[in-house]
Amino acid sequence: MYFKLGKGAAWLISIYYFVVYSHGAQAQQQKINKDVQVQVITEVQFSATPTNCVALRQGRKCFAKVALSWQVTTPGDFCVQQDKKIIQCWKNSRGSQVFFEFESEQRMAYQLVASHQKKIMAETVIDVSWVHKATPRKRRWRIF
Amino acid sequence: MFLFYASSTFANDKKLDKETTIFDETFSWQVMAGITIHKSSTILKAIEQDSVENFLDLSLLIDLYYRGFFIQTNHRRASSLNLGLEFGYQLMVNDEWELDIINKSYLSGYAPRYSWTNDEDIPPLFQGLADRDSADGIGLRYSRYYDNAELSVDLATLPPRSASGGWIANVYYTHLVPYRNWDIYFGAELTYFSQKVLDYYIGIDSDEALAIRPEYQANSGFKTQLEVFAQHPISKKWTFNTGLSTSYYSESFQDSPLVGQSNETQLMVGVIYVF
Repeated sequence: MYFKLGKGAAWLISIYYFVVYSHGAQAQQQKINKDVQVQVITEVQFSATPTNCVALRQGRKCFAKVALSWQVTTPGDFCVQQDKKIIQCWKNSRGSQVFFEFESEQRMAYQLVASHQKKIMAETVIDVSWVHKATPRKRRWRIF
Repeated sequence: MFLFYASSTFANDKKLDKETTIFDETFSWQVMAGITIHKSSTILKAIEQDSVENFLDLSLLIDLYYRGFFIQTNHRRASSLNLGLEFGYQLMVNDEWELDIINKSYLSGYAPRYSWTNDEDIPPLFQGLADRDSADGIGLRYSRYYDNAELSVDLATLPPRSASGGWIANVYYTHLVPYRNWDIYFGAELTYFSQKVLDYYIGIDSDEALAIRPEYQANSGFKTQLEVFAQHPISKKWTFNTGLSTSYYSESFQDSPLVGQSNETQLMVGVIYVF
């Protein structure tokens, strides 16, 4: 009985280890697969249109209708963010576009992030430039 | 062909965008070139825009500043250079207001013999009429600045800078309304012309009098003007500009044999290149 119990316990332990290890191995494999998946995405295209916003004067907020476009070789879950603030996310997608109103007095950077890994896949920027430098002067404008 | 309208006033910049140091002295400067297409009416009779050059203005806009002395141009007007320059010296400058000595042209002159290529093209109304030189005045300007607005008052005498006698007072208010990348300016102006000024420009002397151009002695008068001007960046070097102005001239103008209407309207569209 004791032997039988011991043998039974050994079986239970074996089953336990099988279940645990096989699950762990599966999880490990999944992780590896995901890593591989990320590594497979060797080509990432991420761009902004326009890339430059021109204001009349330095320091003045610049406005533009901007499109951020992204494309990857392998489908996945991705988000576009600006300074860790999510603009839009997609699931199992190869690429897309997001349109929004750009409003800033300085250059802004945008990132394409793989959702699960929280990994920045690509970055693009929209520069802000100006016609006239900022001055403290007052102006008197006339036309005629 | 010539145009006759109240002259412009100009950018009043304490500091300019660019600075150059020469002999250890710092100059501020800015140079721009403008191309403008404009449709203009004038209060003078028999004057119409009838050729391409009447609609087109090419101008060089120069700003210089050195130790209180300045040359300014009106960045919001691509017009003739002689009207676009303003010379001055800053007597007192504060954040809120400024007092300048100013030398500028308050009225453009007109010379029939130079305005038409051939003498026979000169309308009968203007044949034999003496030239009127531009009204270059020297005076004081008080400017008051607000967040997005400015009020300025000019008091200028035309002698000794001009052939005309008399004096001019000008009050101008402009308000900036930013909208997205646009700068939109709304302006209102009141200009008072003394009797000698008006008589020189729209009066008819006895030796100029004709049947169609009777002798006329003008009284003092005034002009009011409302304007809106908008500017939008095209690139780091180019801006797009458009403006509309309407002016009303008082009875002293209207009563002159040379004057056919009491209102002027001007519409302009152009681009400016910033060097």
